[in-house]
Amino acid sequence: MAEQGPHAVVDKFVAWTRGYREGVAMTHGYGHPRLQKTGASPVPGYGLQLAALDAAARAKGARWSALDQETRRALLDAAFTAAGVRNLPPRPMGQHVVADLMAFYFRSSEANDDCYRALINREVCRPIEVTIRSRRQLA
Amino acid sequence: MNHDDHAVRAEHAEGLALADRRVLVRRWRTMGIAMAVHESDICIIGGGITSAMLAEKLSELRPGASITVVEAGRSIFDAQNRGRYRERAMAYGEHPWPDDYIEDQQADGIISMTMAVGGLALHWGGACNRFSEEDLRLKVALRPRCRLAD
Repeated sequence: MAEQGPHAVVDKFVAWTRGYREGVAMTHGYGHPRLQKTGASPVPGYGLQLAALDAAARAKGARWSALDQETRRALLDAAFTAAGVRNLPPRPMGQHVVADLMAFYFRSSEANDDCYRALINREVCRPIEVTIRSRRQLA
Repeated sequence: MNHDDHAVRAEHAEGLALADRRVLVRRWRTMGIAMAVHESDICIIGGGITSAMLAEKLSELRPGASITVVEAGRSIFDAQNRGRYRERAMAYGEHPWPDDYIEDQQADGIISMTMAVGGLALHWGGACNRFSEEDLRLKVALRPRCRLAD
């Protein structure tokens, strides 16, 4: 999150949670004839999950931000195991707030650009007249 | 009026001469049954891309024939909001073509669904799916009434 900074990502994640709608028909690809709808909002569980992380940090003798990275990682591993998180979720789904934040960021177009250190703008629509220009003109 | 009543009445009307059909429809109206009547030489069921091409070809072959295309879904192409639908689809996984389905009218089998004017052409992504079991079952069920294929 070097380019944007973690606070900017968190702000976008919070905005995402505010825009979440329950019971809306979800996108489907070919071969998926049954309609699926968005589930319950993942937000209600976040408060308890954050409180549990804070309690686990205090049990180690310090606030979360004061713990060293290895200790924080161990606490998160334990929290993920307890929540049944085994992979990065396809999108925030409520299993754990940290996994959801990671999914929100790492699956974004911005993270893709950060990863490649290039302005790819994977999910940005560009008009045809832009895409057919030569690279020199685009630069 | 439920679907069975509707089907029985439609079947009843089908076997009657035009004048008798009009009498029958007037009688339904007096009974409080509202039913619009659209008469045409050819009726195409389903408003997808195939029916559009079929209607075009028929209009070329039979310039004087009236053609009706019947579609259960809606006309959903909402150009003004396409960008917003796409953003919601990317951010939340929401359906980028809202209302392209009817809740209880989803097919069985490995197929995709689009019940709207334009059909699967709205979703075209370069994939052709095999017929589903339901497609084949419907073909058998409808064969006695299907004259177009003969």
